[in-house]
Amino acid sequence: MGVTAHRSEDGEEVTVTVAGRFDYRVYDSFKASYASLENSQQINVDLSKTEYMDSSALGMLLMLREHVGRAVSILLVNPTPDVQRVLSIANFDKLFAIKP
Amino acid sequence: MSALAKAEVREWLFHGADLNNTSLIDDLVHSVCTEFTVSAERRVDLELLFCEVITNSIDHGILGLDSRMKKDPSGFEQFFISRASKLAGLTDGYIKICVEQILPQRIRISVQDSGAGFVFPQDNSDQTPDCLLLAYGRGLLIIRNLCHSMTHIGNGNCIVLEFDTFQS
Repeated sequence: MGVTAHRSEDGEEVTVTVAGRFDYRVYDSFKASYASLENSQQINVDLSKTEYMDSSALGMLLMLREHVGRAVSILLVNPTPDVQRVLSIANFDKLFAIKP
Repeated sequence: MSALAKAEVREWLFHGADLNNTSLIDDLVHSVCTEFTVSAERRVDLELLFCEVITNSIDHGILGLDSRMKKDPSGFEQFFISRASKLAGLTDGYIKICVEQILPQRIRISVQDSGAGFVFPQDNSDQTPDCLLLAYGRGLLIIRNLCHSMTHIGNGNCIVLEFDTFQS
């Protein structure tokens, strides 16, 4: 459960996994994962283990993008159906690349 | 007849310190699903719905935080920090929730808070594609999508939602 970050062997990609709930409760650990993102070219946010997501999580995704800047691409990976629905309702499928 | 009699109207009242309890939503959803019949798939929606509605009531009604703070990233962070500290020290204010069975497969949920209410943004003049980027208003978007209907009454401190308890 919670937020973990893992860097690829070539060092260019970082995968941030949010397992369990993605809401206010993980705000601190989500922000703490920023330290692992330095100098990465791509960030994958793995949502395959995310059981629940609300509008505070949407805010955190926007915050992440602002933090890393437009030069770094962010990919939302494998969202569960409940998470996908929230992303679609908020039009986030137009704001972020989503890889099913 | 073996079916258990289900409730027709139920009320819940949460005071100041209760609102900082992280299990508030879980307990409420559990309680509503015990008292009313809600399908498993709609239960997930009900949890999300209560989360968004109660968050709005706490943030804007009781704590008096302004979503416009979230417009830029530093403001967004400030919003979270300010929310956490205000919520931790909360001793007054309340949220009253009423759930009523209005149709065999539909409930009406009213959520009223002790706040001063607020005026809903009517101005859509800046509705460019960039407005998708604004860091606020998404909670209401989610609420509207999960419900059959959504109405604000009074001075904006009460929201009334009709929610289908089975997937149509």
